[in-house]
This record gives sequence, structure tokens and C-alpha cells, in this order.
Amino acid sequence: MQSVRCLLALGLFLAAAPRAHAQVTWGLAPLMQSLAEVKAASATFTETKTMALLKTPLQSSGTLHYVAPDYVRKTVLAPTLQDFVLQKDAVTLTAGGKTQHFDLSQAPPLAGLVEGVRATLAGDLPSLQHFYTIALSGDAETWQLLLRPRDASVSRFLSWLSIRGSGNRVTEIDTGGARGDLSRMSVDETIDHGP
Amino acid sequence: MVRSWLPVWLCLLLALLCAGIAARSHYRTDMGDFLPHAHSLAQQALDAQVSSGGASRILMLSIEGAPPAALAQLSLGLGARLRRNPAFVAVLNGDDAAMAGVQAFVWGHRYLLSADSTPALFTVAGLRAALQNDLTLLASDFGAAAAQSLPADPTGAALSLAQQLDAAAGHGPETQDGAWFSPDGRSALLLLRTAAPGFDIDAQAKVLALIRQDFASLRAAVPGAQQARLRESGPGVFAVDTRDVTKRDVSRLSILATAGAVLFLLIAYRSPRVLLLGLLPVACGALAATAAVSLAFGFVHAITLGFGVTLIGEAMDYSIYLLTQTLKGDRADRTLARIWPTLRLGALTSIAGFCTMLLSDFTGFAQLGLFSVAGLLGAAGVTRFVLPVLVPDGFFASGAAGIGAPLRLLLRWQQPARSVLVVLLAAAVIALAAHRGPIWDDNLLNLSPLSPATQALDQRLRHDLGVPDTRYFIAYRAPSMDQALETSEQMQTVLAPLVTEKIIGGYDLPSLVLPSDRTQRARLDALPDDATLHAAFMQAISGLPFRPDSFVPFFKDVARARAGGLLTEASLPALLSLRLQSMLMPSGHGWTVLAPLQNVADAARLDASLKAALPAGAVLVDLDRQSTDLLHTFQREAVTLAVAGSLAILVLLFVGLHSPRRVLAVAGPVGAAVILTAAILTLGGKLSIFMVAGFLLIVALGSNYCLFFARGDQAPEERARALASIMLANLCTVAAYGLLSLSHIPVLHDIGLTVAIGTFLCLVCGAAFSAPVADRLG
Repeated sequence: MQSVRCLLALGLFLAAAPRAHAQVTWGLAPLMQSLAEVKAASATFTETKTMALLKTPLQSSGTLHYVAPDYVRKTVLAPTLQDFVLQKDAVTLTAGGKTQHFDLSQAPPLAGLVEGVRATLAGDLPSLQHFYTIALSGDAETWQLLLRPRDASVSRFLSWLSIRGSGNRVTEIDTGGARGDLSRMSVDETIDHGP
Repeated sequence: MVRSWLPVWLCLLLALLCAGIAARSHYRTDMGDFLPHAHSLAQQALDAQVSSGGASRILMLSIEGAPPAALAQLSLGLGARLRRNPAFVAVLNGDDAAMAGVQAFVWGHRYLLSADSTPALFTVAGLRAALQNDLTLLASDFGAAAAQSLPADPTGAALSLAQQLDAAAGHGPETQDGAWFSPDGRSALLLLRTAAPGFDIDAQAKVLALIRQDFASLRAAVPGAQQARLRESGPGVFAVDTRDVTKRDVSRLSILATAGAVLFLLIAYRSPRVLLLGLLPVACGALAATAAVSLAFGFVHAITLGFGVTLIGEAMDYSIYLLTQTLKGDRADRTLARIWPTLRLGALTSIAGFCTMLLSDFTGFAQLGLFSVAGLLGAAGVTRFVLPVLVPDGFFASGAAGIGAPLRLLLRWQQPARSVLVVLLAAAVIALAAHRGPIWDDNLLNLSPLSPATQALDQRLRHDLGVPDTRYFIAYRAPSMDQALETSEQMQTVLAPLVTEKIIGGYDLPSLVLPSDRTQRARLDALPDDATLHAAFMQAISGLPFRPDSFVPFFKDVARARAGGLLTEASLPALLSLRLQSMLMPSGHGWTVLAPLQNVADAARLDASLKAALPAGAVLVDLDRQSTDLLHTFQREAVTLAVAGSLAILVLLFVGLHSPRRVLAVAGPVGAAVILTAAILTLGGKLSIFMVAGFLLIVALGSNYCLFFARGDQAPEERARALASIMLANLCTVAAYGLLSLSHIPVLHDIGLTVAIGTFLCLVCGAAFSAPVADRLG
């Protein structure tokens, strides 16, 4: 834990340091900064969910879209069509001909489930720190962010969230739920730096 | 003369009796008691909303002036404390703890509450469709949350109920650090519902004191919160503020007003003892009036008491006429014998004027009428029978001579004064005739004693908290609660399409909180027995990746719902119970339902689509129109009463004076003064309803002046004393009512201003037009 804090302090310190140095000494702040530079990104993904409720893992695949700073869309193409759109606080979930709306500002536990990925994509350190305790490992080429929810109402569902990446790309998002539920999502991202 | 002390003892006895009755009276402050009895459904709706409805129990708090983290801590701490207090039915501030009771209730009774509980749901096909939907949810980013509730609720009954409840309750504000915040992030917000209705002012005052005390002690304990401020709004806060402001204004201004009058009386009488005697008729009159209202109505409204005392201000004049008109070396009883016919006629005309109020439909007007009639009778009686006995022999109001001087001056210049007044009168008539637009103020807010800043805070908090000031309601009656609920279920099929068509933003209905017995029984009957459910479920799940043994909680919960009984009003948690009571209330032998419609986008389309679809007997109520209608009725009633009262006064003048010429000499100047006053008041804006009462008072007081002006058969010395007494009476009236016009409370301000201007003009007009005596004065 002490090392995490040192790392964090170092990262914050380096964020204020000149850019040339930031490339030499890598940490949380430079990582966030490089992620924040991404204005838009698209990806394909495959996801495997292993859950206590299920005999066999749930496999799905589809596409991900991100537009800075707060738009995330996850479209599941197989096995059944499902669309999940997150914009600011509004969530729209369309599946099986039904559309459901959720408001994250009304439901902090749900916000805790989705904010980790979005804030990472946006390089939004304050948001991440608001919802999670953060541990960074690896280096600029292969890094891992391990997020643990601060709020008890979130940690009932979500024990940890691991986001792996390389440079300013996200390559894998793993989720550890309650009762040993596990979700593994590998992401093949192409970054669009925008106009 | 041998004085008979019998009237004094009798008066003392009666005063004690009246005091006894007044002390045992019920005093009410509920506005509903002051308004006319509600006949129509729409009136009932207004009544319920104004005085005791769910809307009246809302209390909105804003905590500001400290960093967000400290504000959130204060909000959560305050919420937790208040939630433990039974004075609050609900304390909402973004803290999940507030909704825990409702969530547990909805979860525990989801199969009785959910419209999805149909036989079709529990067939193989129905269960399979539900399970497939579950797989989608599990695959989504909310999968982790869904995995928690699925084993017990694979049909998603609780989730759809939660969304339905959220939609009806409206969106709360944004949450920050676990507490609700305003959009600008500067204030933490709380929404409370009190157990006491908003117009139970004593209870609301206690509740507010409690909140402030808890807040103060919390603020001392939270670091960085020392600068934090608490601001409250809501009907209860308004009621308490209004009462406090009224109390303060009334006590401060009435002390000042009395002081003003007393100062003039002291100058005139130069005797503290006689001064006190002069106040005796008013005091006895007020006691008699209170006792009479209490005996006749069973209660005395606070407004009657506060307002009635201003109406019987005339009683003050009675003693002034007697004490000032006593000549040097003469005795009070002989003076009384001389002036009594005029005084009696003056009192009787006023009493006749107020008598018309007794006929009013408005409880408030009727009470005020009785109060004035009884008060003036009492005061006149004391002046006639008691005062002459008590006035010390040889009393002479030695300071009064100078007081009459301005009047003598005016009489000397009577001709030019008349010319000026005629010109002014013509101008006033033209101005009133040419007045464009409505003369009456229709804005209810202008009748409210609340400052614009207070009203703005209320608007802001309502907006930020998403508490709309509901304007439209569906109203209907039903013979029993269960039938009311069945009709409510019917209404749901009418209202739901209006939301889809975006004609309304949302609605609430009693059946959304508590389904009817018939519906609950149908839902219960739809639940299969354990073996049947098990068999169907196993068939539905085959081929899906679920582990069958995960769903044991589901079978248990269905079996428990089957074994349990139906829900009644008593089963509801406090928050839902309050929500039901605010929509469904007992009335007469049956029940009345008031279902609020939110965010009505297009009132015309709403009216059109409801016309055909609403069940028989149900109506759409527009509360704004209702209250405007009520105000119009109120205004019409007030004007009718004032006109009828003035006519009654005119008739009595004919009876008392026998000659049309003499009636004109009294009524003419009063009429002129009323017209001038109306013209002056319209210069300053629209006329308020309270000014009408002021006009009746001008007529009552002014006709007395003119009766004394018109007495032709007097010796010069008597005449001089009479002028002094009129002038003194008017000085006291203008001082007292003029001070009332300084009040911020519309009712006091409007009456004070009207009466001060009007009676002064009566004095001027009466003197200028008084016919016979200018030269006789010498």
C-alpha cells in the first residue's frame, strides 16, 4: 500500500514537471495524460463472463466506440444484438426490442460499474480517484491499472477492475465480481486522433 | 344627580362572562376554515392542496456556504438524525437509507405489486422469455449488479417496479459525495415530508425549530462547516413565517397605532383616567365580539380576531364624541342625552352595514360581520349606559379646543374648498371611468405576505429538487376505497398513452401504490404452486446456460407470496402511505381521489383527449383556474357585501333623518370621499380585495362624521365642541390606520392605507359640503 501511495505522489509530482521529463519517468499522471490525448477510438472486442449463476461461460463479441470526453458505446453483435450507450450520466440499454434508461447520477452503484472504463479512456484521474483506489504496475509499453471501488454499495457487486494497456491503447478489461464472478474482455483498439 | 351603579356592575358581570367564553374558545389558523365550504370536486381539490394535502407537507432544505464535502457531511448527518424522528414521514437527501423501507416493501411484495404477474408469465414460454432477457442483462455492463438479484427475481418484477416508482416520483437532483446537490454544486439539498400538515402552524414551528437545532449542533461538529447556512422553504415554512411576521407587525404596529391615538387623546383630555375610560367601549366591544363569534361558530379564526379589531375601530369614536362634546360645567350624562340620537343613528348605520356580511357564504366574512356587529353593539351600550356613570364630575376636554382649529379654518374657506373638491371629484370620476384594464389585482401572490426573495428561493428549490407545483389533477369520487382503486386502475390505461404521446410528462395514481383487491387477487391466482412452477421452470431453463440450483430463492419467494395475504393501506411503509393519502382521502360517506399530472405540455390537447376517455364522474382540475375563480368569487362577494352594506346604511339614514335633503348632506360627502379614495388608490396600482373592507369602514366611520356635521340645531359652543370631537376622532383614526399602512402584510397595509386616506377625505368633504352653519359659527 505504501508503494502505491509513493507511486501516486510521484505521478502527481511528475504531472507538473516539464513534458520532456515525463517521457523519461513514466507513471500514473503521464499515463492519464497520454490517454487524455485520445479524442476518439474504436475497437472490436470479445468478452467471456464466468458467473456462479451460469453453467458455461457467456461469450460475446462486438464493437466499442469512445468519443472524448464522456461518450462510450458498446454494441454486442453476437450472440444477440445489444446496444449499450453511455453519454454523460444517461445510460440507454437496448436489447431484445426493449429499451431501458438509467441515470447514473441517481444510481451511484451503477456509476461505479461503468465509470472505471470511461474515466480510464478519458484519462480522467479525479473521477477515477473519486470512485476507486488505484494501483498502477508495469511500464508505458505494458501497463495495468488495478481499481478497487471505494463505495461499499459498489463493492457488493464489483471487487476489482483491471485495465491493461499498451501506450495509449487499452488492450484488456477484466472484472472481478461478487461470489467469484469473472469477466474477461480483450480489446483490439484503433485510435483516431480526430481532426 | 344620584348615580345608579347598576349598569357598571352589570357591565362588569357581562365582561367577565365574555372573558370566560373568550378564554375557553378554540382559535383556529387554518386557511381552509376561512374559505367557503367546498361543494364541487374541484373546490375540494384546491382545499385539500391548500390546507392539508400531501403538497402542504413538503419541506425543502438547502445547506450552503461551505465546501461540498462539508455540505454533504452536514446533509447526511442531518438526514440520519431527522429520519429517527417521527415528526418526519420522509427525509430524502440522496442517502439510500431514506428509501430502504420502500425498497424492502417493493422487494417483499413484488408479485402482488407487479403488473407482470399474469398466468402467461409463469408458463414455460413466459419464463423462457424472462430468462433470455436475464442473459442479456448479465452480458451488459450492469451484469454484475443483475447477478445479485436474478436468483430470487428471474422475472425482473422488482426491477420494473423500481423503474415505475422512479418515474412517478420524478427525478431527484444529482448526487455528490452521497448527498443531493443543486446543479451549481453550491448547496446540498434535502426534501422532507412532515407528519403534520403544512397549515398546522404550531407543529410546523416545532419541526422547524428541531431542524435548526439539529443543524446547529451538527455544524459545530463538522470541520470546515462553520460558515454553512441552512435555508428552508415550503408551505409549512411559509405558514410559520407569515404568522411570525403578522404577529410581529401586529404587535409592533398596534402598539404604535394605540400610542398615536393615545397621544392625541391625552392632548385633548389631559387626564390619564379619562383616557382609560375612553378605551373602555372598544375593549368591552372586542370582548363581546370574541364571545359572540365563539358561541355562534364554535371557533374563532385568528384572522377574524386580528382583522375584526381594526373593523371596530369606530367604537373608539363613540367615547371621543361623548367626552369631547361635554361642555364646560356640564355633565356627561346630559351630553349623552343631547348627542345620543346622532350617535345611535351612527352606530346603527354601521351595524346595518356589517349585518350584510352575516349573510355571506364565506365563513370568514360571516365571522367578521358578527364580530363587528357584536363589537359595535357592545361598545355603543357601554358608551350609553356605563361611561356617563364613570366620567368624573366636572370633566372637560380642555385640550380639544385647539384640535378643532383646522376644521374651523376649512369652514371659513368653505366656498373655495368646495370648488377645489368639485374639480378633483370630476377628475377622479373621469380617471376611474377611463381606467384601462382590470381594476382588481388577480395575482394571488400579491395577497401573500411573503417577500419576492422568499418566493424566489422556493421556486429555485422546487426546480432543483424536481418538486413541481402541481397544477393539473384528475379528480373523482368513489363509494369505497377499493372502488376508488379499481377506477384508478382504469385511469392508468387512460393516462399511460398520454405519456407516450408526450401530452403529459407523468402522473401518479393511488393504484400505483396500492393495487385494488381484485387486481391483487388476480396476481396471487396467477402464481402457480411449487410443483407446477418447478416443472415449468426446468423446462424453460433447458438449453440456457443457467445453473438451475441457483434459483432456489425464486421458488421460496413465490411460495411465500402465495401463502401471504393481500396488501392493505396498513401494510404500506410511511413514505408510500403518505403518497397514497395525498391522492386518496375520505370525504363524506365515500372517498375522493386526486391524481396529479406532471409537466403538462399541452393543456388543450390534454383536455380534448381526456374528454372522451375519462370514466363518468371524473374531471380534470386546473388548480390555477380554481384559485383564480375562488379569488374572483371572493372579490365579487366582497364588493356585493360592501355595496349591500352601503345601501343598508343609506336606508337607515332615510329612516333616521326623515328627509332626502339631510340624507344627501350625509351620504354626499361620504360618496365623494369614496370616489376620491378609489381614484387615489388606483393611481398606485390595482385595487386589492382587502381594500373593499376598507371602503366599508370609510362609509361606516365617515357617515358618523357627516351626521355630526349635519346637525344644524346647535348652539355655537356646542358646534365648536362637535367639530373638535370629529377632528379628534379622525386624527386618532388616521394615526392608527396610517401606521397600519406601514405594515408589510398586504391585509394590514391595504386596509390601513384605504381607511387613513378615506376617512381623512370624509372629514374634508364633510366639512366643505356641510350646509348650514358656516356663518353661524361666527
